[in-house]
Amino acid sequence: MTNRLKNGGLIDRSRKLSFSFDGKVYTGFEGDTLASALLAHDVSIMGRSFKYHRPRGVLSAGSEEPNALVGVGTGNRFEPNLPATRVGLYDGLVARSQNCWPSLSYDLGAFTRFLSPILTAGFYYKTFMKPKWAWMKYERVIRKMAGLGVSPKEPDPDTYDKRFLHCDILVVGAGPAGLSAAKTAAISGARVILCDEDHITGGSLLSEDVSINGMLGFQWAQSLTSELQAMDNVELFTSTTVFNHSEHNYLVAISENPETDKSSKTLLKIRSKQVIFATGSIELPQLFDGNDLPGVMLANSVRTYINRYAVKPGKQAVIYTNNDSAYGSIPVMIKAGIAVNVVIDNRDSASEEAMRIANNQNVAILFSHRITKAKGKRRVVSVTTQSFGGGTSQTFPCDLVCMAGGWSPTVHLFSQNGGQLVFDETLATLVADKNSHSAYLAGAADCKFDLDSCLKSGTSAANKAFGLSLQLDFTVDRDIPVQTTIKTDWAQIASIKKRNKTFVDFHADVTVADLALAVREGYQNVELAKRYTTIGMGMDQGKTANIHAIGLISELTGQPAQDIGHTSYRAPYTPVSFGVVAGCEIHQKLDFERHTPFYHCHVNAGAVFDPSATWRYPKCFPRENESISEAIDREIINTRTNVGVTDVSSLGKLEIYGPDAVRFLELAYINRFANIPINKCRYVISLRNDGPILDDGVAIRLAENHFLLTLTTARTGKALMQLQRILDIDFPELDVAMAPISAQWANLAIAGPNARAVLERLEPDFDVSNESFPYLGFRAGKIAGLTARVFRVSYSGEMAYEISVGARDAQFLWDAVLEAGAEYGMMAYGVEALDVLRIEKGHLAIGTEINGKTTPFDLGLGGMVKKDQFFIGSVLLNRPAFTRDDRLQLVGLMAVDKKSPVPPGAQILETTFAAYKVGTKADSLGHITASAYSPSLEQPIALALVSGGRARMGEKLFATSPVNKTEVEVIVTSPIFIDPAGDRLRV
Amino acid sequence: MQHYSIFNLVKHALSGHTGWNRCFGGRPLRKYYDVVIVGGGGHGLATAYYLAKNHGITNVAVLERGYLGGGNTGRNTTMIRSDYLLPENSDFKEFSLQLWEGLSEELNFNIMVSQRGYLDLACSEGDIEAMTTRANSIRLRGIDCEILDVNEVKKICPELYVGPDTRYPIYGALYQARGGIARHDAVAWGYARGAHDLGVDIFENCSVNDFNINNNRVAGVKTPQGDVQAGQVVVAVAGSSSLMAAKAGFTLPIETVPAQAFVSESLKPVINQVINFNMGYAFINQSDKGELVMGGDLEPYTGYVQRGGFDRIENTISRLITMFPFLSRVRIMRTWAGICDVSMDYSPIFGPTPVDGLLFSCGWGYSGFKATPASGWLMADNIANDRMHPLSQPFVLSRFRDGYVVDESGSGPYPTAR
Repeated sequence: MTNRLKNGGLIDRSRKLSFSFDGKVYTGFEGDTLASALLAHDVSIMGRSFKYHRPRGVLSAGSEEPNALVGVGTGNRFEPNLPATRVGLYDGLVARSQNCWPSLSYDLGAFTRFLSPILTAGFYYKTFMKPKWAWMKYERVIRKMAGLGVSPKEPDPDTYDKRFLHCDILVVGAGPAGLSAAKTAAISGARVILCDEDHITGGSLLSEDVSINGMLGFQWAQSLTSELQAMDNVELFTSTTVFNHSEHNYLVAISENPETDKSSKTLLKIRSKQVIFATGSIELPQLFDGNDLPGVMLANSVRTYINRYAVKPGKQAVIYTNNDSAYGSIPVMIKAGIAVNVVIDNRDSASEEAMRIANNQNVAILFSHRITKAKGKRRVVSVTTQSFGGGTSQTFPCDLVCMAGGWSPTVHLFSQNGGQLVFDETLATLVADKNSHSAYLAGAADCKFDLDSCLKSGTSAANKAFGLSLQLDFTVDRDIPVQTTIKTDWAQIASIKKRNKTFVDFHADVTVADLALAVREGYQNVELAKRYTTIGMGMDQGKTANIHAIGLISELTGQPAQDIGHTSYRAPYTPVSFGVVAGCEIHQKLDFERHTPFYHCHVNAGAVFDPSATWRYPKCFPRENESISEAIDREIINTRTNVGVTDVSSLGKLEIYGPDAVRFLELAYINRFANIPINKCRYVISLRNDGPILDDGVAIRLAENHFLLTLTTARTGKALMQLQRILDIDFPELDVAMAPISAQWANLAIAGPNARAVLERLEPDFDVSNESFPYLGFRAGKIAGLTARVFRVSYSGEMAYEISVGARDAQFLWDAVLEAGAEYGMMAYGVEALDVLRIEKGHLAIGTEINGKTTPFDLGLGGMVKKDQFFIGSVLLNRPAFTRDDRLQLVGLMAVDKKSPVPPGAQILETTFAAYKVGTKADSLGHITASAYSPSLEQPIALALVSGGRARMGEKLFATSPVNKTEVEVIVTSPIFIDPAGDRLRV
Repeated sequence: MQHYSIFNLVKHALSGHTGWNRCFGGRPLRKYYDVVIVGGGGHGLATAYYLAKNHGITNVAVLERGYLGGGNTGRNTTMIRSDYLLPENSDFKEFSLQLWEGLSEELNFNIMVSQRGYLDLACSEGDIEAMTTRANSIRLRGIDCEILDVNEVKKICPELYVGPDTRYPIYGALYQARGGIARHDAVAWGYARGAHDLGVDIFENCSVNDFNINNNRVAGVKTPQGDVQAGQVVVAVAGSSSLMAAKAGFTLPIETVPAQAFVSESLKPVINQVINFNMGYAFINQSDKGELVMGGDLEPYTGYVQRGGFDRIENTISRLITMFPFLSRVRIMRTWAGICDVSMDYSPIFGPTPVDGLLFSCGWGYSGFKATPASGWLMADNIANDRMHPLSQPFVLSRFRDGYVVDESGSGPYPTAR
C-alpha cells in the first residue's frame, strides 16, 4: 500500500482485507472502498471509457462516479458496472475491469482513438447506410463495441424482500444538515426515518477536517447518531439509498445490509408526511483537454481519500479551481505529503481566508488562468496553463490534478416528483425553486455550503415542516473555505473552434466538440443536445456533466442559461438491481395461482392440469396407460352415455337483493327478469356500453326481489365492475344490494343420462323427478346432508344438475358424488372434455365466440334481446355496422371429407389460399373459433365466425392455416351438432 | 442538403466537423402556410416530409411546443412490427414496416432499423390457438409471421427461460422475423432534416394556443409568436389531442394515460430480439448502445404527467426476471413515462374532424411509433388528394358513430382497465 498514509483515516487498520482486481491480489482495510484500496496501491487506471476506450482513473469518491466502473463478484453473484467508489471493501472481494480486451492496460479497443476524429457525436446517423442490407452486419459490430459491463450469466442465488414504512418525516441524507434536521424533528416527538447511502453517518463530516462542539466533525456525527439511535421514534437506515420520489411523499429506497450479508438487500417503500432532502451537493469537474486522464480528480474527493481513507492519490499536485472550496485542500494535501505546485484559479481573486491558507503554505496562485491541457498517456504528467487574456503558457509537472469546478446541489430527488429547478447565475448551477414543492431542502442541497448554515438549515427545515421553533445547541469551531463566488470558463471553452479532448461527460465520452457540433447542426434544445450527443445518458445520469452542458449550450447558442432549461431528473437516483425491485414475486410466485375448492380432489384423482390465466384447471383425468387424448375422449363419451362430474366452481357468483332488483338486472342484461318465476333459471347475456357481449351466465330467481347470478370465470371481474358502475354511477337511485359470493360456494356439475339417478342417490330432501324439478328449475335444500343449491342447467347438452355447497364442504361433496355415481359409471371430466361437449352443443365460450366483438345477433341469440326497453349496450348495438348482413356470424363447420381435422386458428376463404397470387391480400371471410374431434359424431367439427354465415348453410369454403401449412375444405352447418331440439336436456 | 456518408464524415473530420450545417429550424415564421402541422414529433415531421417529397407541397410549417420528438417519439420502446389480427391494423402497420425498411436510405439518415425479430410469447394452449388465428390472418395479408413451439423459441432466444417450474411456462410464440427496433429520436431528426431541406419551416418552442376557425373552417392557428394563417391544419400531438380538440370545439373518444418505460445500465449484447410477455405485460429489447429497454402495461389511471407509479415498474420487472432469471443482478438506470392518447377501440383516429380543413392524427395509444412513417405518408397523401387513402379510411373519427370500430383485442372502450 504505497499510497497509504501512516496515520489517520476512518479505517480499521487492525482488520486487513484481501481482495483482487483483474486477478491481482491486494490488501486493504475495513472501512475502505474498492476505489480507496486500489488508490492505496497506486492503481490509477480503473476502467476504459465507453466510446474511445480511453484509460480512466477514479474521478470522485461517491455515487457520482462516472469512470471507475467495475464488475464485482464471481459466478452467480457477479454484478457489472458498479462504481468502485461505492463498493465497500470486504475480504475476498473479486473485481474486474470492463470494456477492455485483452486487458485494462493494453486494450485493443483503444484503436478507436485513432478514429476519434470521425467518431464524433452522432456519427452513426451519418454513415453505415449503404448497402441497405449491410446495416445489420455493422450493427453486430457496433453492439459489441458498445455496452460496458457484461451481463451476469446465471440466475441470482439471492432473494430480496420488501418493507413498507410510514413516518412523520423522512430525512434523506445523514450529513450535518440531515442529522440536525433529524434531531430537531425527533425531539419534537415526530416519528423520524433517517437514511443515508453511506454505511456510516456524517456525510461530508467524514471527509473534511472540521470541528463542532469541540469534537472532530465525524465524532460529532457519531455522538449525535448514538443519541438518535437511542430514541424510540427514530429509525436509522445506513447503506440505504432513497432513489425514487413519487406523488404524495411516496419514496422508495434500497437498503443494503453489509453487516450480515453482502448481497442482502431490501426494498423500503416509505410513505412520509414530510420529507427533507439533506442530500448534499456534488462537486463539478473543470473543463480542459485531457481532463479525463487518470490522476485528474475532483478536489473534494482527494480530501476524502486523504482524510477518510488515509490514502494519498498522488505526489505532485496542481489544483484547478473556480471557487474558494479548493483552498481547503492545500493544508490537507501538504500534511499528507503531497506537493502542491500551484493553484490555478479562474477568478481574478479569492477570499482573504483562501489567500491566507495558500500563503501560509507557500503555494503560488495563478489568478485569471485556466488549464488548457493536461498531458499524459496512462496518467497525467503535466498541465499547461494560460491566462484568460491570452499570453504565454506555462507547464507544471504533476501526477495529480484537483479539479474544483463548483458545487451543484443534489436536487435529483426533489426534482423527480415535479419540484421545479432554476438556474442560479451566482452559483452557476441548478437550484431548487422552493416555492414549487412541498418537500424541504437542507444543507448543501439548499445551497448552504458552510457548516454553520448547513447545520442551521437542517433545524430550520424540520421546524418549518412541523411549524416549530426549536433550537439545537452547536458551535462550529473549525470549518473549511466554501464556495461563495464562482467564475466559470464556459465562454472561453465554447469559443475554441478546433476539435479537442475536453470531456464534459466522462461516462458517455462526450466532449465540448460534440456539444458544439450538436448546436451547430440544430440540436440546440438541451434535450436534443443530450439525445444527439448522449450527454447525461450514462449510468451516472450525468451527475458531473449536466450543469456544464447547460452552461456550454448557453454560450454556444447565445441564450441565457436560465432559458436553457434542463433535462429531467429521473428515478432511480443511482441504479437499482432488478432483483430488489421485483422482490420475491418472481418465478413460481410471479402471480398468485387460483384454485377451486376441489383442487385437492383433482390432485388426488390424478388430474393433469392446464393453466388458464391465473387459474389452474384439471385438463383431464387420465388413467393408467392412457394418453391425454384418449382420456379426453373417454370422459366425453362417458358423459354422453353414462354420467360425468366436473368442477365449475370458478364461475363467478353474485346475489342481488332489493326492491329494485328486477329493474337493475333488466338494465344490466339484454333479457327480461320480471317474468322469471321463483325457483327458475334463465340464460342471460350482458353487453358492454358499446354493444358487444360482455358476459353470459345464469340468473336464478330465489325470491320476488332476490336473484342469484353466475358470471363467467374470465369475465367475473369486468362484469362485476360494470354492475357496480350501474349502481354507483349510472343509476345510483336503485335500491339494490349486491353480494359477490364466488369464493364462498363450491360448484359441481353432474351431467349425463344417469345424472338424475346419481342425484337421487345423494339423498336430496326434495323431489327430483322431471315433473317436480324440470329443466331450468332450481331447488335449495339438502344434498348428502349438506346445505345445497341445485340448478338444472346444462353446458354439456346433457341432462345436468349443478350442485352448489359451502366451499368448506367441497371434498365431502366430491367424494359423495363419486360414491353415489359409482354404479352408474360416474367419471370425473376436465375442461378439455367440457370444451368438446360444449362445441358439440354449439354453446358459447369467452374469448372464442364471445370475443369482445360479437353481439347476440351474431351468435344466433338475437331473439333474447329486448326490443322495447333500454338496457346497457342497447343504443350502440343499433349502429349501422352492427346490423349488417355480412357480419361475422356463428356457424358450424365440418370437413367435406368428414375426416380431416379443421385446423384450429384457421381463417376462412372462399377459395384455396394457393389461388391467391403472391403479393396479393386474401380477404378472410372469418375464422375458426373452436375446433375438436367429436367422439359422439366420430368426426372433426368446428365452430366458426363467418361473414354472413347463417345465409351460407351448405356452402363449401376453405379453412386455411398457412402457419401450419394445412387447409381443409369445409361445409357450413348449424353450430349445434348434437341434439338440436334439446330433448336430452328435458328428459 | 449536406449528404451523409462515410466519405463526407471523413472529409468533415479534417476540419473538426465545423463545416456541418444546421439541419432544421432557424427560419422566420411566415404569415401563411398551405399546411400548418401542430406537433413536431415523428408523425408531424413525417407528414411534413412526405407533403414536400411526394406531393411538392412545401409551404408547410411544423410548430412544436417543446423540442422535436420530445413527446412519445422520444419516450417509446422503439419497437416496429406489423403482427396485428385485424387486417385494417396489419395492412397499415405493414405499409409502415415497408417504409421503415427503406427509411435510412430515403432520408439519408441512419435511423438504425434493426429487424432482429419479434417474439410474442404464448403461455397456454389457449394463447397458441389465439396467436394462430392472428398469425393466419396476418399471413393472408401477405405478411411474414410464424407460430413457434417452445423448442423453436429456445433456438431463436436461448437466453429465455423455458423450463416448467415457473408460474407461466412458455408454450411457444408468435414470431415476426421482420419485426425489430429503430432509433426513435433519429426518426424525428431524419424527417426534420429531410423536410427542412425541401423547404418546410420547423419551429421549436412554438406552442399553438388556439385555432382560428371561420364558418366551421379552420383559418389558422394562434401562437405566442403571432397568428399564422393556414390552408389546412394537421394536429399530431399525442398526449394532448383531446386538449387541442377542445380548443377546436369538439370532443374526441380518447382517454389519456401515462405509460412507463425504463432502461438498464449499458451491457454487452445479451438480448437479441424484441420479446413480449403476455401474462401481465412486459416487453424488452436491447438498444445498440447496450441498454435493455423495457416497458409494461399502461398506468391504471388517466393523467397528463410524464411520470408513473413505482408499482408498475415492480410488476414489470418481476415478469422480466421470470423470463430472464440472469437479469436479477442487472440494474435499472432510468425510468420515465410518455402519455398515450388511447381511443375507445385502441386504434388511431386519423383524418377529418368536425372542423373543415382540420385533420387529426391521434389515439395511437401504444402503437404510435411503429406507425410513424405510414402515418406521415398517408396523411400527406390524403391532404394532397383531398380524400382518404384506403389504408387510412378505417380509422376515421366517424367510425365510433357508425360502429365500424377497429377493436384489435376486443377489450372495448376501457383504456385503463384492459
